[in-house]
Amino acid sequence: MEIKNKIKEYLEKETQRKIESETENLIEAGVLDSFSMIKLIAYIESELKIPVKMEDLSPDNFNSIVSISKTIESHGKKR
Amino acid sequence: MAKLIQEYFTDSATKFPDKAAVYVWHEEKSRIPEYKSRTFSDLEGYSNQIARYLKSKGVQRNDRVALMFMKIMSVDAIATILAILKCDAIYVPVNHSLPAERVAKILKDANVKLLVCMNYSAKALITYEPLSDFNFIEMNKNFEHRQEIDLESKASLEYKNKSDATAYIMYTSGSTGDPKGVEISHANIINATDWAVKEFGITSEDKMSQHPPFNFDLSTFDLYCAFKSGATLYPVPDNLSLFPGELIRFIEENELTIWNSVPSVMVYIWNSGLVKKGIMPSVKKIFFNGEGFPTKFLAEWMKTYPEKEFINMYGPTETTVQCSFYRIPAVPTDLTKLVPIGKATGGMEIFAVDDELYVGGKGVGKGYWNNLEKTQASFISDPRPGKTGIVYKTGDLVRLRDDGNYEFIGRKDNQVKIHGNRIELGDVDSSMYALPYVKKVAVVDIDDPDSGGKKLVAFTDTDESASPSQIKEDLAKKLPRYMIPEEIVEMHLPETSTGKVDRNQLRAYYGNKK
Repeated sequence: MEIKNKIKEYLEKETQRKIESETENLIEAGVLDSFSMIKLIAYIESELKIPVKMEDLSPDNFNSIVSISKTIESHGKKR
Repeated sequence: MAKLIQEYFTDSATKFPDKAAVYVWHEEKSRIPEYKSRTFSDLEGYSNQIARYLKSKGVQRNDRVALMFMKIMSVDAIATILAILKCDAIYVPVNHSLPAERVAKILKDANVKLLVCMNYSAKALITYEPLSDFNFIEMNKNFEHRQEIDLESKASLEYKNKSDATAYIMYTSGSTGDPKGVEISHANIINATDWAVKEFGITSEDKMSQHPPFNFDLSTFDLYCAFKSGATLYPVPDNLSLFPGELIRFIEENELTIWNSVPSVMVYIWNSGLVKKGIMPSVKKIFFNGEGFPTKFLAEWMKTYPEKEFINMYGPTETTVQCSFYRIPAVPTDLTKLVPIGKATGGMEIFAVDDELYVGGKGVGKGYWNNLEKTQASFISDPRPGKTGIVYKTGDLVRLRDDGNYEFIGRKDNQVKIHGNRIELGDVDSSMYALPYVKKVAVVDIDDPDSGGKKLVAFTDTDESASPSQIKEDLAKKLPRYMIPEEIVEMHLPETSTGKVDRNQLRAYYGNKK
């Protein structure tokens, strides 16, 4: 399964929220908050085995399924 | 000496006309703010223009005027607050992320005349039928209202208000599902501000964070301490606290000297692993308020920054930002209990009656707006022999230590704090009962080991038609985000012998399940 779909599936299950589209702003929709953020990063690191560089995350590059996937894929490559 | 809180700003505009009063950092490339910074004299003139405009729209003394802005428009938000005060009117700050139904309840309860906001909010709210006729003033550049404002005179205005006049009404969660408005006077804020500026030596050299939203009374500390001292305010962009790397960069690039926020933000930043010795060197004082700081995390922060001062502030909205404080003298060693809430601040008195904390003094607010019954239940005559005056019953249970400092032990009722936000469990319960498919519900606060704080879990008995995601979606139309339970558990609810839902049994059940 693609990273995008894995993240969407995980977030939907964890937050019990429906994600309308891959470009929906998850912060504004209330899906991504401090509770789900910690869980999501732990999931990406331990289940998807991609190290996340917290210092590089910003509201611009980590707000939707598409942007989150793109950002972590670039983190994975830099390793 | 200022008699009205807007005079703090006017005095600073005279003393430091060309100094930046507000500095807006734009992290979001998609939303560049109109202003990067505005000086004290600029903002003084702009607020006079807005005040004249509001008066031309019929705003009179003691009218309630609401405001709703994202942080990116903080310059306009702050000018609007000053303008409302300059009309001798009362400001009612409303969070821009609240659902229309909740906004409408507040506007109706406070009988608000106008809502000054971003065009984005007005567009969304006007589609909600009960607000379709409401009067909005849209403050975005190039909008008609703003063009009219720009034509008004910048000259100063005269005030009729006295210090005992109400300055703002802030809404907090009410136990029956309706938010209640806490009424705070100019004199209340002056007492809190004059004390804080002197006690902590805040000066025009300081650069202060402005993190809490304006509807949260922690913002009163930032705003008026900066206005009085001539310090510069740095509004923290919305959602930046979710991104510790960016937040640290914000503090470092702007060389902030004072940081004021809720502990849960600091725990979250700590958990990112980015907090290390040597970073954020400009920060001298860290204030926290709104909830207990989980001691394990506080100790880590203090070990990393022995040179910075950590100050625990305590106070319900009803007693104006803070009524007690505690400068933490050394890294706490007992990690099993919270650091004390300390001793009374200037002009205030705190004491316990049957373990419940009572607060007296110049910061005790005027009561709950338009709600005599609730006011009389919590704002009572001083029960101590020979004492007069009104004291506020906090509902917080405390213990007095041998050294004269108070410690917070817990709550008398069903009020909980999530990220510093005060929530009545009954408020969430009633919103859930209002959903047609909910047969029975009990919302419970559960310890969350990740944040060291709490989270809300709703146990519900519903018709099969409703999924947890449906319930959350429907609740988002009624409640602020922080009041939506993190988790919905569907089950048959256990009852006590008297037929009530047994919340303690639910907490135990949840603990065993995990």
